[in-house]
Amino acid sequence: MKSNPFFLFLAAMLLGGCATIPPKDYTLYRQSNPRSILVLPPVNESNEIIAPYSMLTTVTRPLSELGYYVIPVVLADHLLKENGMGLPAEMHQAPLEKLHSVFGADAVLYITIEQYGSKYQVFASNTIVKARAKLLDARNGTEIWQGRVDFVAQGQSGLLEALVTQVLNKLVDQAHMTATMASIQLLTMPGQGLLKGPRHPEYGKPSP
Amino acid sequence: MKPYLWLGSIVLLLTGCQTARPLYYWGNYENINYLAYAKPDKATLDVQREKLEEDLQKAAGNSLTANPGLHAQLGYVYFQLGRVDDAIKEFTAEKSLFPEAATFMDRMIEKAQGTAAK
Repeated sequence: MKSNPFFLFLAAMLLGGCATIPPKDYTLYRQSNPRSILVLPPVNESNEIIAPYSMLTTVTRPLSELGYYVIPVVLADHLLKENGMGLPAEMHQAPLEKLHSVFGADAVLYITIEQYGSKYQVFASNTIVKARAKLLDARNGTEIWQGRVDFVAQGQSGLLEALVTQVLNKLVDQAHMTATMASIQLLTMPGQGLLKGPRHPEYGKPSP
Repeated sequence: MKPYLWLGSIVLLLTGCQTARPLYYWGNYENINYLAYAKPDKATLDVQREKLEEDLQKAAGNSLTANPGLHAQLGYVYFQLGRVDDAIKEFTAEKSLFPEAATFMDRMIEKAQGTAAK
């Protein structure tokens, strides 16, 4: 049994648990040591118009609970729009020093949504939110973190039910709920997400 | 990591267990912000004002710190409703609770004062 490679593999899987992805290198992150984060409205590569604002309104909580100050997202969005940046893609092109001087944030979070919404199958529906993100130090432009998430929530609703308007409405909210989960996973997953920030009691302690 | 394993941790994170107590009181802030974009007719300025004021009261009533951004957002709603003095008061509150907000809040205060002067 000992020499059985399959058994060894199985044991390794069991011992390793779900930590199959090696933790990220946080050297640059620690050097940058941001206290506050400006989250720009995400760029949308999905077909769902609401996707950027669905995702944007789900990131404040996980980031704040990690110990960062999040520049109020709606105010920031409106101010950028008033300054001629109607689309997230334009906001993502804004010069970093300008963003830093206007909002005073130490870092800027750029999110791109790759997929958002429900896929109907005969017996089930999957709601998917797929996104990538990067965090730049707003003072010098260094990329201090990047991550991605591919979150799938499995629903019970079938194709027939999905034809009923009421259920469809429910599914729209299900997409937003899925975006909420996706944001939490993207930003807070230990070893992959952001480190604890200055307002967190565990700030500066070595991550598990 | 499988999404469902992760869901467990999310539930823990959201409900807060003993080792991970939330830092802030979270009421309507994120939901009302989402609604304002997704279904603006259901989140008029008056509805937003009511919900955010309710959050502040509940946080205070439970001796909890209201989430960062709440005072700023409420101030912005007051500003849009033409209640400039109330807006400035909230922007100032945000700044004093969260000094990280100072640069942006000073800008908002300036903007509100500019409107008042007109």
